[in-house]
Amino acid sequence: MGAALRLRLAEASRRGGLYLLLGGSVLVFFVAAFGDDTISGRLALGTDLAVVAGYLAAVFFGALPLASDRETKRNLLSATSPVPPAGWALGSAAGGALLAGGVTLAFLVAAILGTAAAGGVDTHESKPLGGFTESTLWIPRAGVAVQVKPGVHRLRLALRVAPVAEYEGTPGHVTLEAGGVEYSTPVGRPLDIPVKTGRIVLKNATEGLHVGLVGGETRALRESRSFVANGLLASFGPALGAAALAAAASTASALFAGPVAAFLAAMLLFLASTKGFLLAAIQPSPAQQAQTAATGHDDNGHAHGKAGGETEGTGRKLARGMVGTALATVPNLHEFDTFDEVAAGEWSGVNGATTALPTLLVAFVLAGAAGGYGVSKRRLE
Amino acid sequence: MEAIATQGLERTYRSRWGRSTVHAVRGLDLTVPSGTVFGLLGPNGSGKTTTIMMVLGLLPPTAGQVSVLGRPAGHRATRKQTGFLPEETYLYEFLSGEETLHLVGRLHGMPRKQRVLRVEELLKRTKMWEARKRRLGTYSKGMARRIGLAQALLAEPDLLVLDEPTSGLDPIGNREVKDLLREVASAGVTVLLSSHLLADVADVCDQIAILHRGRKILSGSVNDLLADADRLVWETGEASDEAQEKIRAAMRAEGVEVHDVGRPTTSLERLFLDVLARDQESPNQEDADQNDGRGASS
Repeated sequence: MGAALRLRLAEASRRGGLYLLLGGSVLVFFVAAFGDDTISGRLALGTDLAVVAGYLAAVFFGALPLASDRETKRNLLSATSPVPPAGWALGSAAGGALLAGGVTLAFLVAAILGTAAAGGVDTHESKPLGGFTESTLWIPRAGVAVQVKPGVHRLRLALRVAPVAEYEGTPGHVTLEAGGVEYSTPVGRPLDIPVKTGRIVLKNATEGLHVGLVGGETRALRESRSFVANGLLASFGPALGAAALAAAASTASALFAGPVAAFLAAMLLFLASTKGFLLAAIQPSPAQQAQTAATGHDDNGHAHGKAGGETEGTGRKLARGMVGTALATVPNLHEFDTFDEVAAGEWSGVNGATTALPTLLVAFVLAGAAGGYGVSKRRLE
Repeated sequence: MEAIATQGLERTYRSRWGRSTVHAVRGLDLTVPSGTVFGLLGPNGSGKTTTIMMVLGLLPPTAGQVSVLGRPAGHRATRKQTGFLPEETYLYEFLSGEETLHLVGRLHGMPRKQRVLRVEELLKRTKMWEARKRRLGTYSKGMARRIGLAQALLAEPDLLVLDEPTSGLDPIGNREVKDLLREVASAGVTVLLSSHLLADVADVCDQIAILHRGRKILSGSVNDLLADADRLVWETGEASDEAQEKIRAAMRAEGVEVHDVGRPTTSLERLFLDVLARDQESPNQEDADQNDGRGASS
């Protein structure tokens, strides 16, 4: 395994990989430093570019080495050695994973440093607000008293507006007053309020309107943290995701020859990166959901697809179930990317990495088992 | 004891949809005794490489059995004791010669200390020490062949399988490889080689098998197979015409028929090597001039 790993690393560095890495990092750095008008926009541009490049590199580093060995018959060297096929497959997958993870990490570091050079994002570690539960807290017109624990500097409130009784229409902005100062924000956006008072009052609500502090998003910002440290820790999530993708691509390459492996690896990347979109696309429409919730069945008491207008037939349900099940086996690469939180100044830490770690382990187990089988079966191709 | 034994070995290739079938090897019984140099001969498509692949465990036989060093072909312990040089030197061209040998050493699980010594020894033995840091992509075919041979010998194998070992080598390299093979064989290593170059096979092999259309059509010891029982050759020193005539007359009187009397020719290989050796020993005129010039200026 060690020999294969070292070989893959040597190949990447000897074939100009270091120059590509350096050039890519410089590009990402400048995009992250100057690519947008706002800091969060620059961070998003830089990290998106880094992650996309890293995932593409993962397919490349994962799928190419074993396929190339087979095409050039260099696999005879390992096949006639005492190295077990599983060891060779695992070593190749580990080499690809290390390269893909390293490249993704390097690009993300460049993006973080670029954004930091442009000013960085004011970052705090946030905790659920002291005294509040995780459920929504409603702020009536008369206001609500907030119990603030010692050490809290600011409150970050994610505002939602909910109509009560006869209220119609939603104000575009919500204005709150705290400590004699008014704070206004569009609905749905987070609002930071310096903690100087124990009472928050709703200023612009009409009769019957309450503003909800949505539980999970109602947080007290406790302490200032380093944006760079936050970004670097968050980088490990996509880096591990890229490593897992490279290991999976390596397994595909061991199992299937040439163009089939390349197609499967590309499909894997596509599915993993668009999983959220695809899952959303196969959900029934809101009207269908509403009717199902209201009646438990469609208009005619049986499935009839389009004829029923807003209901769906058994065939479509079955197809949706099958697609959903197939997608469930594919990891969602976006779950490993927590740069939205980083851009919002939230302390993300290694949340992305801990989400990605099980996927990486599964990818390596598959690389050893299925990849080893593929290597032993395709020695002479 | 035999190093390799095959019984009723067969290999059939079928196309993807089973439309066409090629019988590459048919009913091959082969015995390669330990410590011998065994040559597989045959025209293209006779089944030599397929046989070698089955011996190495890279191809499963369609029928029959292969035993290598007392175990089934492809056994991990057998692979550890086997060195292989394929027909083409399929190596990683971005590695240097030295790195290639270290890679093979790691594949065989050799400890670093032992590996370093062995790599140095083989680089010198195959005359590749000076070029050890160069990448394989810059090597000539002959140099790549030498590194290929070195990697096959690296793990001190008990069995050496060589597919066309001298292809791409110049006459000097060819001679060196053949000497190396004899040296390796004298140390007790079994060598199985296939070659198109019949002179090479005659030079180094103890035993041969000739394959044709997947079947073994002849096998045995090289000396026995090449011996001509109907002819006798005497090798003498210079003799005058008169002496020769007397000898002929005496032979005719004894009823011995003289087919040919003449001066033997040396082989082209021998002539080439002798000329180069003589040139090596005496500095040429250009070198002598340069030496004189240096002497004059100093």
